[in-house]
Amino acid sequence: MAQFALVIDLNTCVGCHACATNCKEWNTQAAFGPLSDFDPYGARPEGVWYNRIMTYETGEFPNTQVFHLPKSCLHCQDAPCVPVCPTGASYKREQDGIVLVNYDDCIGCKLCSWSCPYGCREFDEADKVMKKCTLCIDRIYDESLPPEHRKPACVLTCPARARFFGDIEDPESEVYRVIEERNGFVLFPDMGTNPGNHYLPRIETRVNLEEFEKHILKPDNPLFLEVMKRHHVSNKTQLPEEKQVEEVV
Amino acid sequence: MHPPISLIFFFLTAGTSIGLFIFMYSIEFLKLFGKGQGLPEEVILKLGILELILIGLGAFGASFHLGHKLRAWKAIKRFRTSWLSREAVFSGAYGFSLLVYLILNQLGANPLFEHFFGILTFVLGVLSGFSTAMIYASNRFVLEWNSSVTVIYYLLMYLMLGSTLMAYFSYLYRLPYLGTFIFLSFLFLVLAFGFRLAFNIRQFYLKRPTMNEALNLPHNRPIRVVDTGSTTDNYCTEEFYYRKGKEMLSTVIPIAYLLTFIVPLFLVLYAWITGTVNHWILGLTYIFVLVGSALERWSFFVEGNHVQNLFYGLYPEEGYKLRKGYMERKETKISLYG
Amino acid sequence: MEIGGSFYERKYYSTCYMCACRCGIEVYVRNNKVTYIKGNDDHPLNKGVLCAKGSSGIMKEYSPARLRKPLLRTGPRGSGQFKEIEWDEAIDIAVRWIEEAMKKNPAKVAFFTGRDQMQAINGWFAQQLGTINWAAHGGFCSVNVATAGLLSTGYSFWEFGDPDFENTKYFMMIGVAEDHASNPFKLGIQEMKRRGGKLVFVNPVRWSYGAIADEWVPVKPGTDGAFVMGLMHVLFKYNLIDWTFLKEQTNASWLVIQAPGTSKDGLFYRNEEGKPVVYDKKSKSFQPADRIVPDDLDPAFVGEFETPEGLRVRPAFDIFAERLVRDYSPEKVEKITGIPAKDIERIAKEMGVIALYDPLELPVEWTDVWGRKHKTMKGRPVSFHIMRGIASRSNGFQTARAVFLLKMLLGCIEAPGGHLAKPPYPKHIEDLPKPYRIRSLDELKYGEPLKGPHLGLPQNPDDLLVDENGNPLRLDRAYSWEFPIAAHGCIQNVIPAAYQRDPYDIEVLMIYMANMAWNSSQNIPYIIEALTAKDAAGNYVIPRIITIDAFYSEQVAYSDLVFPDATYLEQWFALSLLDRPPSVAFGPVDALRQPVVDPKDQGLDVRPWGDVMVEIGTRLKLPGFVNEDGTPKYKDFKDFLINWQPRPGVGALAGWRGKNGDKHFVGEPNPKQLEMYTKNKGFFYYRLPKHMRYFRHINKDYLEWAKSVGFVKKTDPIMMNFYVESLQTFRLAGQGLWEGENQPPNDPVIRDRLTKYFDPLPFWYPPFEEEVSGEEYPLYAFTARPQWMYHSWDSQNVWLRQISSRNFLYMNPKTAEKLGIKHLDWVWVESRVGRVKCQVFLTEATEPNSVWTWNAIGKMQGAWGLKPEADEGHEGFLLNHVIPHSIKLGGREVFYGDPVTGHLAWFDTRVKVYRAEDQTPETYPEFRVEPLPYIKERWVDVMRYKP
Repeated sequence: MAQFALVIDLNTCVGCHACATNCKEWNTQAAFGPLSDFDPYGARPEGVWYNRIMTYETGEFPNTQVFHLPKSCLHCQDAPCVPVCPTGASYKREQDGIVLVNYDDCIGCKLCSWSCPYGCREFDEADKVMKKCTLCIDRIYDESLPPEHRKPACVLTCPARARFFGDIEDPESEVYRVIEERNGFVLFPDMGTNPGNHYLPRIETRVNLEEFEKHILKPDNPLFLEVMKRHHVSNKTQLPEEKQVEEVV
Repeated sequence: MHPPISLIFFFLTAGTSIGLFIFMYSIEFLKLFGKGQGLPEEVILKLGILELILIGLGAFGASFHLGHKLRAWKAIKRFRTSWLSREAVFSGAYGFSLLVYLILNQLGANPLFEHFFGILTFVLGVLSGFSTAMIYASNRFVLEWNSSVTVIYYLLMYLMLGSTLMAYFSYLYRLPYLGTFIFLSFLFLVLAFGFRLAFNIRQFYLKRPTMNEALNLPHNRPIRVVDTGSTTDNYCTEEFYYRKGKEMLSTVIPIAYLLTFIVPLFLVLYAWITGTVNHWILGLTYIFVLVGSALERWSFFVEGNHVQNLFYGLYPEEGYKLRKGYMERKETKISLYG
Repeated sequence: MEIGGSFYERKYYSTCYMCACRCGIEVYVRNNKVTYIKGNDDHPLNKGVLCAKGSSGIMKEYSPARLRKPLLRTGPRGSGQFKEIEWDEAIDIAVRWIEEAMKKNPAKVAFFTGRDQMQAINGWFAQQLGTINWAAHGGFCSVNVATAGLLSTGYSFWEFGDPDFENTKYFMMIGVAEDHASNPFKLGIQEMKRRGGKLVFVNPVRWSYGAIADEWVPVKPGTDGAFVMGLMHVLFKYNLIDWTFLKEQTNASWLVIQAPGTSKDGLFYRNEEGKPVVYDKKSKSFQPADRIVPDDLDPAFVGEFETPEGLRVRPAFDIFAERLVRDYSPEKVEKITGIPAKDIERIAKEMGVIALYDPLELPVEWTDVWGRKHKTMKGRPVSFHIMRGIASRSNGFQTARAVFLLKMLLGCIEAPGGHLAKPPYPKHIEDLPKPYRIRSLDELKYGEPLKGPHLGLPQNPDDLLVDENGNPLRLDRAYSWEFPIAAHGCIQNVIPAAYQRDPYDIEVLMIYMANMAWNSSQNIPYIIEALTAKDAAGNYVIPRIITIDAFYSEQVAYSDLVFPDATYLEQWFALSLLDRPPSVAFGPVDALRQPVVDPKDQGLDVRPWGDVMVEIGTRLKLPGFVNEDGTPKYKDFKDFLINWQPRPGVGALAGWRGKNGDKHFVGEPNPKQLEMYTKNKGFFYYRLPKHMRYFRHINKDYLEWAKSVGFVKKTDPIMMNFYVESLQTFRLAGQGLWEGENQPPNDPVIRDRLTKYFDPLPFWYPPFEEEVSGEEYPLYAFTARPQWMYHSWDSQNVWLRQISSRNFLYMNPKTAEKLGIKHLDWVWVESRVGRVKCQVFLTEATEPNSVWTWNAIGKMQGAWGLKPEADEGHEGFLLNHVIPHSIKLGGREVFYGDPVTGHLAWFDTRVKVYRAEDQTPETYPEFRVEPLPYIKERWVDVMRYKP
């Protein structure tokens, strides 16, 4: 069965929030909008977003790693938010696996959000219904758009091209391929949700100098030695004359 | 979790209603087998009306939890999968069945019909309570709730509410069951108390998921949140994490225990041992249980930690820390259910 | 829920202005309101993508902070008391004020522009006013790097140069948080990373791009220069140097006279024809440098020689080599930078090996200026990007110079995979403009335009703008002895200088799109004092302030007359090649903005500054704006964009010129030009043929083409300055050995600065603040802007402020522990000029000697259309309060900047941090302005945007 989903490459995501605001921009005016913003100019602005970017760090200085995690509805294959809905407003489409909320049936009990381990549903206090990522269903099937634009807004706008969209069950698809090739992983794999959205891990590139160390990298540049000799510079470490800049803390 | 006032209200009203009916009808039911004399019709009428009003109020109050009250009827559509749907169906059916039972009872209709509806109401009441409890207990993302203990003590609380109120009414209407209900009050207070304690103690032994599990990253490196994508709160941080509540929790829980269990137990025991019964003692017992239960419910929500909080760094690493001296972490392991 | 077709009625192609990046956008409109903004797929800069700012443009358009009508101040400055006046009246007032001032002397009008994208036009307007006092915001932004780049390689970074992301394999970013080229960089980095390239992030903070870096080099703030010098030491030691590049394209082998105490010292040794000379090892003789290639000379890079005249000479490289060998061994650099010596050595080896031995070679034939045909283009796939972490320091110029020398050693300039110039750059360094020189303000006459450009690069002390006593002629002291090569002017000095009436007082201060009363100035309490100070007669010391801005900013609140600007979605505008070009490496690009929505639909009576400028210029009868018969030359700004020609045939836009639109770059104005732009999706991109895309400093075909379109003046090779001889002339002046007309005042501080810092070869010295603040203020404090607000003019944006409505002071946990500070404590950050209260956030991604925060999140309460209780004014804070704007040197106050360019050294700030006794979550100092009444009416509790 088809399962549309996003694949997000943490190896290129720089946490710029482009996907989040472009999502907001598209969806507030589109079929599933508006996305209300409360107290927009006041003390504690707080709005409905389908997509949020978290930033985490691990390790101790100087071996710190920082990574960004864009998080939107994962369109789980075993979506726990669907069966708990008392009205059937929260549903998973057969044809493409997209999890949607039918606003006309939503009674605003919030139970679906309680049943999402990812915190990817947001209640709109103005409309009193639950809102969530639709994978831009109003773009991907919109035939008035040029075919290359029939993708979720976040995917089209991502400046780091860190977002892929497609059917993760289709072995021919790009998303299927990158998940396979890059060891795509999911959030909270133990929760029995079988998320659609995948993430691609960070990869650290290192330069292997081994071959060069043997043949080329010799500290014997004659010009270097000549300068050293002519200016009587000792080969050993020499303290600079200026006052030492010390570690201050 | 953020405690919704409407759901606390529903617990108190529906709990009292169902608890009271269970005992009221039990007396009638036992009469069938020649045990006891049953209840005077007018008492059944009065209690029945009270139960109806309470469940009605409960349903009305709970609707405030909904964004769209007028669509609440749609909640019956997913009976097959949703405990909330079942709760709605059962509690609605309970109210309806209760009404029919009352009418049949008052009209003196065929006892077969009357007791059919009596039993039906009884069962629907229990199922309603069970379904409500299962909404919480089946949520595997709030580990504190995700246990049979939740269901058991939830139902026991219903019975506790019902028995203490029934004790009061027994005194009020000079019913011959005063002693029984003082004893039942004591019994359900003790049982509910025990299971509530178990609910609390269990939390210390939960194997909590870590941020590494949430993010599916190697476990040997602790992860810290640097930025949640918003410097203000959002729906997720408010609905699933109640900052003020967490701060107050260590104060509220002891008070809740005191009001819900300790004080009523003392009052009931006092009445039982000294034989002193009056409006004050029995009335206060119920009032304490009621007020205490409100706080207990509040704590129940605030104690619940939703795993989505992991993404915000708001999930406890181990059992939350109660105020020192109140309850230390013990080394002995208590095995309650499995 | 309807799907399809309904989300727009009209669609426009335009150019984004949420930051300085100038991405192409598609704007969709429904019910006369913007529904969606998307990146323009065909635009060469952003290729269809759009960042967080660009995607939030709608909320800029409909911001409650939008000004409605011209404002005239009625209460005291900063009170927020204004009355709304009609446009006619407003322009009359401005014209009167300017005219009165100009009659006294045109220099009494100072016009400073912030992050505007029409500097060429604004500069030209200022020329028409006849004033000498105009500049844009480069003085606090990037002038160190820009100047170092232009002087070294004839181009620089950002709008002037990009890594060759298609081919680069090793990319080092130094001192970069986020950048001008916001989207292109993200696109480029991901492209490189997918190919397995390595991203090295040199920064005290690991954030944004740092998150995906393959290596983080947490350099101690202000020591980047030493780090780069250390890299060069290792490259030299292991002979990882592109000697051919140095020989053919730079002056590294040119001989420098060693004659201390004489006026020739440090200048190039020249033959009778005045040509620089090298020592040819083959013929063992002195040969003119311009014969290196045709005669296949083998110039000496190392050694000391005696000329027939008996002068001691050394190749420029030799002088530098001695410095590298003596002072910058990895072990010494480790002590300065905190970066382990073995890492410095390894990184240098990595970049050296990749630059020199990577097999990258493009199968493209090309011809160099000497007529040699090359079968391929040999790659040097190492590239760099540097920004404010380097620029905004008192050693920034020399540090940036070091980076350019590093690029030269690796030969990775204009080679495939290296760092590429963006046309119209590179330019011949000697042909770069100089600031138009006057000797005295009396040369400025009412009604006469300034005869040359305001800004440029002085080539020797005689190009300075000083009077006969050596005093500055410009208000901001640019091109004075204090800041001789202030190539972008010194906007940061304007308000303090006008307040101190030093060098002189002014009458009218015009500010366009710069928030000089708040986050674009330093030491804000002092700036507020300057803006509100009155003289004995009760008049403001800075008499008249005119501000042009679309929003109710802090600057607006402290102005006397305010022209409400239109937004980028409401006006015609040109992103011109004459300005900072929106070009890409493979060809020049310019672009258009067009009105997409009408401000009147929102009830706004606002006008684009361009229209207002034309109107003011016309009413003042400035020569450029009126015909000989006194009739207006331009109807409005749209007309101006089409018909304005600063040089014959050259206008604001380069595409589709000529009567029929059949000429590019040079041609008479085309009345249909703007329509042709809109037809072509809003931009003009001339994609260079393959053989002209690299080695453009010496690429014959490119240079000939570039000359034909006016980008360069000649087809000679563009020689790069390994050694910047012009700096030596200033140094000689400092030593009293300069034989020209301008002589520095007999001030030891000035002379010492000239002697010490105008080194023609880069070196590292500690930032000045280190000595001044000393051990009392042990931590470096600096700012960065988050990616979702970088260069954005409106962090009050409803969507963006939800991401960060307040900022924290980020600090390493170990530093905090030593100071007894806990996570989320409120602390005082104190520098030698003041203190600010803020909340600490601990992170291991920060170097232990540093504390930092996001800039411009903190706002004055009541400004920017936000409610006074908004987070931005309470928990958000502005670090600028503690950033010194001046420094005491030799008992005298000097504006705090790089001694060469005057670049404000706002990253130098040193602070101490201690826990606040009062833990109330509230910043201090707090400032407040009253919001305009109509702004208050726009506040809603819930915003539901769905037009």
